[in-house]
Amino acid sequence: MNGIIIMTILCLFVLSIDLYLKYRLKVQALKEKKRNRIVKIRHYRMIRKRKKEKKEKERLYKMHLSKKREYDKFKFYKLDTLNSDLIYLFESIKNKFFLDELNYFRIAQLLIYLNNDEFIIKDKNSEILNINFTEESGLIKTSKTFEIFITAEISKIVITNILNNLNKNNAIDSLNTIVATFLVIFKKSINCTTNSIDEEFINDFILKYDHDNKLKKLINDIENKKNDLDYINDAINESFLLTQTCVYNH
Amino acid sequence: MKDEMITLMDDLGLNSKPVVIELDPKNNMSIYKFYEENHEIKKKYLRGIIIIVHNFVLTTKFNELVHFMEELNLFDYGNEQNQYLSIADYKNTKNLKLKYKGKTPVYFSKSSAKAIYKIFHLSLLGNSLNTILENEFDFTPFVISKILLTHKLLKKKKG
Repeated sequence: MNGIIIMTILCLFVLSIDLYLKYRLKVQALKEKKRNRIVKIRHYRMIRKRKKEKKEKERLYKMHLSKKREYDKFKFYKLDTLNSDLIYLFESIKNKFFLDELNYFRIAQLLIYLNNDEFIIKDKNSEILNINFTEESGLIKTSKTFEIFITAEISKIVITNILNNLNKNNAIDSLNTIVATFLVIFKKSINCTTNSIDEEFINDFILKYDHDNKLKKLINDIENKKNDLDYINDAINESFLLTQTCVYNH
Repeated sequence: MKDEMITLMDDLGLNSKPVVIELDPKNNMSIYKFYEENHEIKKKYLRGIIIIVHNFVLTTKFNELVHFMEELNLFDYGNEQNQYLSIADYKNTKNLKLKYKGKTPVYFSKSSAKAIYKIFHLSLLGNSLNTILENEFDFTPFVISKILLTHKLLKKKKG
């Protein structure tokens, strides 16, 4: 009888140990499952995040690329065609200041515009000469002649002159001053072919410029001969004395 | 054009400066004589004459200049077919008015017309006219203006 009891107790003991072990295994499996799930979720989240980042990067890259294409057009195709005076001018600006892409683009745009159309400034001291000349057909025509300055030459002298007065550490303000000086010279010039000031280009350029209000103020200050910008007006006046005039018929 | 620029240069490579003869100071009227110089044989040939009134080049060819002078010489005998001058009355006296596109009106009295005609003929004395008649410069506005402006031969405005 005692044997049976001992056997039963032993069996119950073994059974309970077995049950306990099974319970432990089940708990462990559950924990494992839960951990796996968390890892999976984290993994999915990471993938989603990476996808999102990739998309954002692509979007930014495309945006950047589209802008860059416009800059590149000026960077690689057109600057080579500038005349030597303007290339020298561009190099001296580039050596003095670090030009980011936007400023590079703006300065290049001005120089290319200056190069494409021939701009001239009438010499105020020039006498106007009218000439009656007979054409081959026998008709008598009158031609008007006066002396002019080439805007590109004037710009080169003025900008190289004022570069010494500009602060290298304050690149943004200095570049604004350079651009304003360019536009002031443009305002004094006329187009050879149309015989008028190209105000549309100047207004459009100012509108698209990042610091348009600062630029407008600078142009006004230069034109109104404010004391702190006297050196620009002096440089412009000096350039007229240093440059040789050309004869212009129309 | 290139040929004209070359022939206008003397042996030293400089543009030959025209000789200016004043005809009528009141009206800022002068003739500019262009010579081709040969320094080797020390000779110069008259190659062109232009007439300028108030910084307005009236004629660029010799034949035009002679026509103008003859219209001046005829004075009131001239008629409506005059190319350069018209007859104008001023205080009951007949004057000549210059037909041109300049801003300042130009009038010639009988005496000044006579004087101009005389000075013009005197200025040609001693010059051989063969070269100008046979081989005249074909002036273009560019050439004339370049010479006159580089030599600063134009009259300054008064006032």
